[in-house]
Amino acid sequence: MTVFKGYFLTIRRNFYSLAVYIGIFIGVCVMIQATLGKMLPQEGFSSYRMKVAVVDRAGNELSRTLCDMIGEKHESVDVADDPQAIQDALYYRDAEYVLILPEDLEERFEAGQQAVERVTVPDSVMGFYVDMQVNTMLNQIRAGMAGGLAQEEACREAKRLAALPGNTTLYDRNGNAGRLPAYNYFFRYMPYGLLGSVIWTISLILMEYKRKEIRRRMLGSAVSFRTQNLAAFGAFLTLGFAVWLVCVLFGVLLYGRELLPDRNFGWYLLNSFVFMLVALSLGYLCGTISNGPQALNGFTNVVSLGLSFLGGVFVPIEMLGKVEIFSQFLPSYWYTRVNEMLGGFQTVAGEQLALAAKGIGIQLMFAAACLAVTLAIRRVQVQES
Amino acid sequence: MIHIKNLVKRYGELTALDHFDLDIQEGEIFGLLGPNGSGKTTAINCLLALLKYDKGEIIVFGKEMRPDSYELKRQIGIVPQNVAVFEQMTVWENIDYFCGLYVPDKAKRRELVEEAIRFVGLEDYRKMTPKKLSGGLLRRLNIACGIAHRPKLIIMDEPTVAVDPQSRNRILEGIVELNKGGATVIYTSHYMEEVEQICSRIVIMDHGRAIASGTTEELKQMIRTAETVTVEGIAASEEQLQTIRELPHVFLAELSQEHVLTVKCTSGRHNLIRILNYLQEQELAFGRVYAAPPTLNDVFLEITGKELRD
Repeated sequence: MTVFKGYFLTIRRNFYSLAVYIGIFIGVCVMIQATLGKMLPQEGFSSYRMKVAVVDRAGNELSRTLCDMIGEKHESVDVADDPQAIQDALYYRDAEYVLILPEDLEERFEAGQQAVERVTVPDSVMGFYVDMQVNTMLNQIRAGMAGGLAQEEACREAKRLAALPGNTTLYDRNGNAGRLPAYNYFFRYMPYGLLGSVIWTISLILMEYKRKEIRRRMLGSAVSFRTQNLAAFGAFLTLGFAVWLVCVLFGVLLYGRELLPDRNFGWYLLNSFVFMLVALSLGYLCGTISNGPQALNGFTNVVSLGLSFLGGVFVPIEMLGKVEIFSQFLPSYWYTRVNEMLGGFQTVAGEQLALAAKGIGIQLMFAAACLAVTLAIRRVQVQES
Repeated sequence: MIHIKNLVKRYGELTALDHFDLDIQEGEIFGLLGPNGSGKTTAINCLLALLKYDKGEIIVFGKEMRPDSYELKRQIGIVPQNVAVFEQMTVWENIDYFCGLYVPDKAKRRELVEEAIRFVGLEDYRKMTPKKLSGGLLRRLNIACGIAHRPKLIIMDEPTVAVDPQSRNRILEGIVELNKGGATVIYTSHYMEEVEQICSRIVIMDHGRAIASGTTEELKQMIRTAETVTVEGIAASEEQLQTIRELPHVFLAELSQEHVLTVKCTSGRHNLIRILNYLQEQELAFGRVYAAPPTLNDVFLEITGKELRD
């Protein structure tokens, strides 16, 4: 018990650095949450309004119908009919889409050719949205005319149809209107808090205990080597559990109403608990290979920030690009994958269950491998000394 | 109390302990004297079962010492060469921690810790961390951590290295006091004056072997030198030196470049008077003259042909 208590005495002395990491994590979560709250739409679904400019060179019934439709569905902006002005408007994002209705719009339309021209911000996905609306409009007019209506009547009928609200049935997989719940972001940033606080604290303690003379004194004592090791494991597990519990409780405090009824709450706990074991094993490794506080500081920052960035904690996995291939070897990547899945689905079954098992399994294997490597290094260190 | 027989420890090509033998009786302050690298610390590590040895036998308190001999280890206290305390614990916490490795009972431990603090004179520093202590106070803390559980056998591995004279005296007095309190002490050092001052018996080690053992007097009697006469500020010729060498009981006379004449004599009376008479006869001018009995360095020098401090 003395050895176990000794570890906690040292942990108590390092309480402030421990609190700083947890504080940063919670601060980041609250900040991100506040930002996301402003950015995300409150409704489950709403149509998107783009800044669209229409250059009407035709000036006829057909072009006016299209202009009216754009005006209703999007934010209409004025742009001069000049290539340079159009480029500038797109460059400065005054307009996201410029619809050009040529003088021979009607001829082209009747001939079944591409009737309109468009200029958009490069690689704009939302441009297709406007394309679709324009094409639908033109097709409806064409269909009306084919059905015997005059162009003017067909345009009016198409405008009427376009104004009708569409019934949107949202495929709500997570009971959160397709959005990731706020607490999912909280759990997403948790690896940084766990890695930073646990690695730093464990490493500091280990550096004290691995000093040659301290080790000599301990090994020469009446407490067996096995008991000493068990006490160390027990102390580190307790520390990790306490840090994890504090983080989780803070999450419950912030998002309790939404988080507690979530069917995936247990999975969130399991995923983050397993990642805490990863953080413990990494702390054990860093403490074993660090030679001084400065090296330790470097290790802690490189490991916690590196794993967080590369694992998709700070940056969404989709934005990692080719780096994702490398990231797949990291436990933080699998933590994030499982976390994203938990946010995206209401129940974990089938493929989701397979992903959860795989992700958590890989994290556990990483922790076990890390522990095995550390034990091997410690064995060499003991033999060398 | 301790019986080491034929101990051999090799590190690859290097033989750190070469058929090393040792017998220590209860109540002794036993000195392990030898230059750095002579095998003192290796012998201690083997004794504590911290090192596997290649050959030999170690018996402590009548039982074979093994890595899992925790009942034996419970009766042993270790004071390592370098200060081995936790930087982030206070003086009290450090002593309590190391005492706790031997004494699980909290109430009893509190008494023992207080006693150890009083013994080393750290009463005013209880709540200080080691960073705030001077080198001498740190050494005292190091000792307190090793003796707080009142061990029967205390192993002190060069506890006075890099310690100021005042703290050194205090430490040496403390060791004698511990011994008077019933503890047997193994004291390793390369400071012969310390060993001479406190140890009841001594083993001189070199290249992993015990080259001589006994009390200080016994060791000194093992060598030819019984008295060393030193004459400073003299300018004698080679012929005059030769005459001195031929005086009765003289077996060595050397003149250094600093004009210091060293004359070594075997046991016999009036050696100093005889030498002074000759110098007067020759009308040789000289400065300070003194005669001294042999030191442990002389013992080491005569046995190994080199200085103990090398």
